[in-house]
Amino acid sequence: MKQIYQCWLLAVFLATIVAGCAPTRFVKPLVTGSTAIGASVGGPLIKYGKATIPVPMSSIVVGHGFRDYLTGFMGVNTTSLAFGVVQTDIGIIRKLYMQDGWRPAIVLSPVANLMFDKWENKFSFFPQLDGSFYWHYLHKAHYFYLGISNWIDFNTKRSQGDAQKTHWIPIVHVGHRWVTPRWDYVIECKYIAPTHSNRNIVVEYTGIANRGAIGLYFGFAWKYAKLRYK
Amino acid sequence: MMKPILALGAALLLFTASCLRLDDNLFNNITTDQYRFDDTKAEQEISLDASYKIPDSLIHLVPLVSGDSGSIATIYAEYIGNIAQISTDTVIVYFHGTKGNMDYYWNRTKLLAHVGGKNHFGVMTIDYRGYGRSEGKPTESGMYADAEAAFKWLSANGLIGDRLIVYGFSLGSAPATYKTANPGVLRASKLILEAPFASASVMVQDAAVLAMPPSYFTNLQVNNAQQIRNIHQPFMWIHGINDDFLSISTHGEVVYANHAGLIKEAYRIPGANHVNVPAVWGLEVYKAAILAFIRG
Repeated sequence: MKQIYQCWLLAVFLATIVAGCAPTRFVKPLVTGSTAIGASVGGPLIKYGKATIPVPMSSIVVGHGFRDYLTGFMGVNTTSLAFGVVQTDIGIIRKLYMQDGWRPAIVLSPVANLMFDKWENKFSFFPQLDGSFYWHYLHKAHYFYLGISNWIDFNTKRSQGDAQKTHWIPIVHVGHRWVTPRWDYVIECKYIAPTHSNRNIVVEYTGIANRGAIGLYFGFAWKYAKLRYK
Repeated sequence: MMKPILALGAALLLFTASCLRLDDNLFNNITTDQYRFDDTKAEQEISLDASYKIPDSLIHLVPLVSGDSGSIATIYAEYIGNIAQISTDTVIVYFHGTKGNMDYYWNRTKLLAHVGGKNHFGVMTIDYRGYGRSEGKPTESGMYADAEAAFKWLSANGLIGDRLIVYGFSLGSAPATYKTANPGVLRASKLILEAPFASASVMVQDAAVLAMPPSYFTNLQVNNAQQIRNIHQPFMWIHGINDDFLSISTHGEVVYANHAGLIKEAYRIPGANHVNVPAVWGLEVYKAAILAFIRG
């Protein structure tokens, strides 16, 4: 039935920007003094006609290693930019524990998501706190990772003045990063908002048991300056 | 140093030059060279038997000139009934949904033409600009102008507001609500909304979960939930409880609650989704409810 409203899917392409625009920016901190520039595409899986496709969101990111255990980064959603909305995420990633055998490394990442549109000059701020584990395997630089992002919405009102009941959106992510001296390649899967029903809205997300949305992302990063494996 | 500056410049250029908006996505229009009425192959959401056939003499395709702030378009309307009796008949103006064109709503308009008996009320529907044979490109303001063009034609044929019933379905709830709240040549006596949406921003927020300004996505100002605060005429609201496109709770209930008048009726239809309310409710029950509201 929803195929007749297929064109509204485009509307939701933008609606899904906020929490599902990019893979986890950095999982493992960069080496001190090194910088990485990356790009990614992908988004939540939606039904488009008879096919299921990831929403083709795109973004770029730059990160810098301040310490071996601390990296700062800033990302920009380029798809939003084309719609007149500056959407950036600025954050740090802090390693808490080193990997020890099969015990994974643990990192924490507070992020500020800032948005501003040129049409009505509206500004939004959504804080985010990510926590991840990662494992190098077989003595390689590549690693698997998994973790959870937590988006916070401080708004108390929605557009019609009714209460904004959702103040926490969890996102579970799992991915793999292939690491070479100059380039990293990443594939990541997210489960966005598993706590929320995906029924009775204008788009058909691909979730689990009618909840949330599965997202698929691809990215790469180019690294320069001080390079060494940790 | 030059590369970051160039990247920043490119980003600023993209931002300032950006013009992509989602406004056009409100419309799911299909053009046609010819309206086929009973011969249409367009998908119908409800089925009607042969007893609902309308005599050819009572089916009129009416071209209208619609003006929207300097943008003039010829649009097309269907009038089911005797045009000569508009000066004495009660007329239901049906504003259809976003899908297709008037052919896709042929059975719905025929059903309304049988409320109170065959051709008891006159029924008019229009194709907004960009739909069916109507010229131009669909826009929000154009949709309101097209509705006014229909009212002007009815007025010219003798209709007065006291005998005008406005019915909006889904997207059609926008022109129905707006023109009832902001009347032009005719002031509708009653308003019926089936599966209305509250506003474009609610659609977006429903999908995004987070409370974000609608201006991030669209410049559309459609806001039935706000417009209906200015409507004091009797109001009938019908919504499928299982509407999986426009949620009854975030859309329909808000519109109903905001109606400012004293007389209003709500029909929440169990088992019905966005498009099949008359069929699930039962055609006879549906017609009887519409009739009772119009006569009440």
